[in-house]
Order: sequence, then structure tokens, then C-alpha cells
Amino acid sequence: MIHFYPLQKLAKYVNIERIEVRIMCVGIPAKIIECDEISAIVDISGSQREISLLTLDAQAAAGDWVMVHAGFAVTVLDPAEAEETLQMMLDMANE
Amino acid sequence: MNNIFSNIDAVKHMTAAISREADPERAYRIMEVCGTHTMSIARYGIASLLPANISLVSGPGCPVCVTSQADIDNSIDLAYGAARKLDSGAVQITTFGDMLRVTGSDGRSLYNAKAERNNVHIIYSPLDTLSLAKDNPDKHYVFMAVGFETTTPMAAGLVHTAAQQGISNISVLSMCKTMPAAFDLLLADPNAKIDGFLCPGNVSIITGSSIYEPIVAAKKAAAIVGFEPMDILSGVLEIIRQINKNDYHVANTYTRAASSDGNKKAQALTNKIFEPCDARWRGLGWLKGSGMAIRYEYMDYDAISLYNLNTRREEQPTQCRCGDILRGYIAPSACPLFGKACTPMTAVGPCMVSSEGACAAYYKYRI
Ligand code: SF4
Repeated sequence: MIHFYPLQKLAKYVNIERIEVRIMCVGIPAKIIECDEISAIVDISGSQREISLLTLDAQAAAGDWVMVHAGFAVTVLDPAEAEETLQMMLDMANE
Repeated sequence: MNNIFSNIDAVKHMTAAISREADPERAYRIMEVCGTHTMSIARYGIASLLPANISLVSGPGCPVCVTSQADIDNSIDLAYGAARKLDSGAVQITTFGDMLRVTGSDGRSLYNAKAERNNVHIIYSPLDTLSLAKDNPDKHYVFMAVGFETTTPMAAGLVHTAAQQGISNISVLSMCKTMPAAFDLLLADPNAKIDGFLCPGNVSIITGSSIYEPIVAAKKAAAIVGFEPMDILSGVLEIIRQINKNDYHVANTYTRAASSDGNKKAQALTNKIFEPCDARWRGLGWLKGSGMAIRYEYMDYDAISLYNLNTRREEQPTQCRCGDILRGYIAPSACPLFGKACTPMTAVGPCMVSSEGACAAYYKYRI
């Protein structure tokens, strides 16, 4: 998975031991392990926690990647799209 | 985990394009609105990759930094049981860790309250408040809600869920804010002299791109970008092109997460619980309709009315220059206290306390 902040990097970035305490605005990518309508268990770089799906406006299933803000999934991430975006940026620089 | 958006070859390719296209005859002042961008830019040394005539200026997008002194004082009073109508001892605070060390006018902080009274709990998600409240029905939990469009839905989610589950020993002290009024202020400010804005991707996931239309209507460039070096650099290139061609539109290089409509479900949740109100910003003053107040129907969850807090209380002037920094007037190093009286361990102002504050970023990465 290639999105945004790998967790260890993030820990260094905000200079904390426990990753969970200070991240407010930064979205963290997480993989859904299991879910129902309103909540999901996700894997965030090896640690599991429950998140809310109250603010997710798309269907998600086990195995999907979501962006998590303060314990809420806000969007489904598509790893293939990340590659495409990078290509688009590189093309843009070639114009 | 390999991060393609910080790939060094890609970054070189992009900075070469920027150097090629930036007109050496003119200066470009680009504001990164969001604190997370400020941190990324400092951390990756992005400013040093750009030609000298492109400057990146920090903006008012760190929620802890823009929280007014009055709101901070109210939070600390609440933690110390000084607010009116308070059964002292029963009040418990839940908060994001960033708020902990911001000092009140009397020099105390939530961190002091945590040490002295053990009633401040650091949480990751507002929903963590629910389990605390369920386990301790004799105590009342107040969640300190700071944040922009990105984080307000999560505070709304807490109130919504508490109401649904009939949990009554929870309330929210809303210091939530919205970006548009701050953009209007910066656009109208002749001293800020901003040519283009790097717009926060995380906010855009929720709001979509329409909130940035006033920027381009005022003939300034705008690009919605993510938080990796390639995201930021592609935004800079986009902004330079818009300026060079005198053709302004809201560009989006963060399509992998943010759509043009945003997240309707999150917007609906926010609007169900909150309504706009006037809000006081540190450094920017009162901005009309820029705050989020809990709706009348959910009054039982509103700490401001529950504890009769005065959001208009007077503020003491301090030497801290956070206000000028948030408006883009000065860089943190221009503050006389920076790195001397004010360091992350002895922070005077919130811009040094918050992990996303401009002063903290400048200090940590020695800019
Ligand atoms: S260096 Fe400290 S005192 Fe100066 S503006 Fe930043 S936070 Fe305020």
C-alpha cells in the first residue's frame, strides 16, 4: 500500500511514542478486516482498532483500504488510483 | 511500505519543471493553508527545492493555533472546576493531545490539570469518550472539539451516537471552525499579498472543491493537494501555471481521496448536529459565520450552555506573534521569542505547542 503516511514515519513526524494521541488532522490509511453497517475493525500498520463508518459515503467491505480521520473512515482508497495520480503528476511536469 | 509520492526521481522531475516555468522576473507568494502542509513542507525541506522567487507562507489552518485565548481559558477553567454551575470533581475532559500544553492566561494548561486533578483524558477519536462515559456514569465527560471541516463530522458523530444510545453524561465544547471566512479575510487583506493557495486535501475530502471558488473568483490560484512531496510540488507547479497564464480555477491533484462534491454523508452528519455561528480566531478576530455551534435540539450535549461558558470573555494581550504568523505577515523566526523564551518545551503560544503549528515546524526543522 502506497498512500500517505506510513505509521512509523508518522510517529517520527509528530515526535511521540504512542501514535494515537496527537494525530488530529492527518488521515491514516487502514485496511478493513471486518465490518458491518456502522463500524469496522481495521488494521493500521499492524495494530487493530475499531473505527466508525458513520461518515463513509461509499460501500466498503473486508479487504478495502479506507482513509481514517480521528477514528472515522472518510473515504475508500484505491491503490491503483495512487499510481495513476503519480503518472498524471509526472505527465503534468512534462507538458 | 514504499511511498511513491516521495520518490526522489519524481521529485527532481517536478522541481525541474517548476524552475523552468517560474518567471524569474516576478515573485510568487503561495500560502499553505493547512498545518499538516506546513509540517510536510518543513520536514521534507520543500522550500529549499524551489527557486528563490517562490515563497511558501504558512496560513491559518492549524486548529489548535487558531483557537482563541478565551476558548482556551474556558477549557482550562472547566478542567479546574472554575466555571459556573460546576459540581467540581465530576467534570472530566477528553481531548486531542495537541491541546494539552496550550497555556491559559493564568499560565495553567490542561496538562497541569491532568497532572494535578487527573481529569483530562487524551483520546484519538471523539468516540473514545463514549466508553469512558459508559464506564463512569457518575462523572460528566466534556469533549474539547477543535478542528475544521475535516474534524467537525467526528464531533457530530459523538453527539449523534450519544443521543442515539441515550448516554447523557457527555457534552461537547465546540471550538470547531470552517475555512471560508478565513479565506475571505486573507483575500481582502492587502498586506497578506498571497498569489495562490495550496488547499488542504483533508478538508476537501469532506467539503469538496466548492469552498475554494471565492479564491479563484478573486483571481488567485488554488490547488487542492495531499501531503506528500509530490502532492505539494504538483500543487506549486499548478499554481505557477495559473498565475503565468492569468487563468484561475480550482485544480485538484488529490483526486485519489478528494472528489469535487466531497463527502455528503459527513456533511449531513455535521449539519444535523451543528449550525454556523460567529467565532473568534486567534490573530484574526471575530469572523462571521465561521464557527460551528451545537443546534438547539442537541442543547443537552452543548458544554457551552451546560456550563454557562462565556465565549466573549476578555483576552489578555501577550507578546506571542502567532496572530501575525497565521495571517502570513511574518515567518516564525521573526518573532522575538522564537527559539529563546519560546521552544517546544517552554511554548509560549499555540503555534509552538501544536504538532502542526508553524513555529513548531520551523523550530523542529531549524528553518
Ligand atoms: S515563537 Fe512562540 S511566542 Fe513567538 S509566535 Fe511562535 S508560538 Fe508565539
